[in-house]
Amino acid sequence: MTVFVVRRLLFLIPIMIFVGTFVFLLIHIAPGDPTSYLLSEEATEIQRQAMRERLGLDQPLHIQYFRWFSRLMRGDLGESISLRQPVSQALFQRLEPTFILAILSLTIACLIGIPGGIIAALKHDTYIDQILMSIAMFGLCIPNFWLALMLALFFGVTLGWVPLVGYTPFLEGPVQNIIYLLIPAFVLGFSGRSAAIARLTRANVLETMGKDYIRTARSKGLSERVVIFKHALRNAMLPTITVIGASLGGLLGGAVIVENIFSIPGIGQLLVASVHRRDYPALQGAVIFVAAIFVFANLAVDIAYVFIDPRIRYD
Amino acid sequence: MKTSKLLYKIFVNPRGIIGGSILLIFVLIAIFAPFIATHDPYEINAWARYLRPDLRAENLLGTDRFGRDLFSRIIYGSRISLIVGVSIMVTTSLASTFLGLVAAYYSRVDNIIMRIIDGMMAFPPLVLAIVLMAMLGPRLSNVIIALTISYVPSFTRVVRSSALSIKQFEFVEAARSIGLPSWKIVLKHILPNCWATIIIMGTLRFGYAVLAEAALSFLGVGIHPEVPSWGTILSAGRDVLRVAPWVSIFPGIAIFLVVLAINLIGERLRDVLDPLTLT
Repeated sequence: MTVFVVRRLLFLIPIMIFVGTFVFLLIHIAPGDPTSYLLSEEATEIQRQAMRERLGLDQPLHIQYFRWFSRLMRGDLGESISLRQPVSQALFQRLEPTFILAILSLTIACLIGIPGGIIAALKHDTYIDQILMSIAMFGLCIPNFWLALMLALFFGVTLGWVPLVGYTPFLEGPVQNIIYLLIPAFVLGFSGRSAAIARLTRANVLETMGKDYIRTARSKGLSERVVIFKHALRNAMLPTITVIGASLGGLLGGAVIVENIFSIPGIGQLLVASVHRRDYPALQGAVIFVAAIFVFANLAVDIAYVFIDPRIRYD
Repeated sequence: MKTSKLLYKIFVNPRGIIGGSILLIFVLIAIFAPFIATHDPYEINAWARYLRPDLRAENLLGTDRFGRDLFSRIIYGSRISLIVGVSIMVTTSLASTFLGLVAAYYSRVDNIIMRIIDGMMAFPPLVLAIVLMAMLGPRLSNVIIALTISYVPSFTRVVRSSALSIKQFEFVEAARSIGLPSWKIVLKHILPNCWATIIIMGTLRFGYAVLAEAALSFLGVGIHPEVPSWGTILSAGRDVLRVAPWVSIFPGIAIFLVVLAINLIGERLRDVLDPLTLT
């Protein structure tokens, strides 16, 4: 077990080196002179040259790369141009909203998806199954940004129940915080995530219910409830955990959209704002950060899997 | 199975027929957009800003900030969505099939290809697409490039694992033992057995791409805001949700219908081509 975790952690090193290199090359090979957005239009060529020297942009690419990388290794992501603060600091300030949003939406996705999938499987081929699976299809196809706008329109404008946009930090007002995040989290959890969880859960419960040990359990006179909860569901839930882990990528992508719609000051909003402001250090930092979260979350799921299913051994 | 028989099997079924008809309608709308649209989608009319939708009036679905006719813009927007969807389906299928087959059959390059894929998979697809768009600039062709790069890694993995499982069969060994060149084994013996997977995965990418293009344009990093695309219309609508909600409502319905059609067809393809999977 320890060997497995250590090996997986070591495997993260080449992945993160790849991520860093890829993002570095992408931004440095891209056309456009950074001084054009750092300095005003009237800046003279001498001023531009001075700025390039100050930023080390006059050095050859490989020197720039090694400098940048050695700073990255020390956790220094550079200075944000538009925010005038270190990128790492800006990222940590924006971690809380994204984190709470992700947890909340995963919870909502599971609360809708798992019972939905189980009920659909137990009522297989009835109208209940059909209705539930139609809702799942609806959730898969609906664009999350549109659902977000429509819910904001309905609950924010028509009913006036919730504030349209904004955010309160959790520690300043936990209730306010959840109120602000509830609709964004529902949008993220419902569109895509819950549908995928429901469909997979349904398929696995259906498959498990056909197994021999279920017949054995029934034939020895166990009540249907015991058969379903103790024998079927425990085994059917395993693949669901994988899909929850795999959801994180989509969730982080979706968070970018939802944070922008509801003006939640998270990582996703920073990412898009940096694109618009051509703040490349902040963009680089945000992307590397998101990739790191994603990679670590996947590792966590892999490790959790070993604990949940004793049959799995990774050595 | 013959193609005509296969098509019959796919489309003569509730899901197939609903999905197929919706898609066909949108394809026809995209092709005949100039004849269906009531206005020039770029035409600015300062006297007709934010008109409400009215089926009896000149502007069926109302107008936007510049007085442009929303009905016509949505009609023309179908072109962008379908072009992006079809292009991504084709480019990702070709690239992933090539990479997946090469990785599965030639173990020497397998390691290189798969390590790069592992690295690319560290980025959530939409985040990768946003960064690529930031570098490339807002253009239709760049959206296609960015989304292709974002969607190829996961697709390649699936093709590779499917090809690897087929490589284990005895007929592949038999083909090798009679001295067939490796490219012939890959093309004639392995690829035909991967078709079902490739077609299903490719179809799903069509739907993802329609959603992703709209999402990118919505965030302002996709297609140029002037160009009528469902994403750009929605993006403009979001700022005026209170005063002109209709700007946001209709393009979303169009996106939903196209993605629904693709997913219904995709599910039907899976049922027909790959009957063993349950989901």
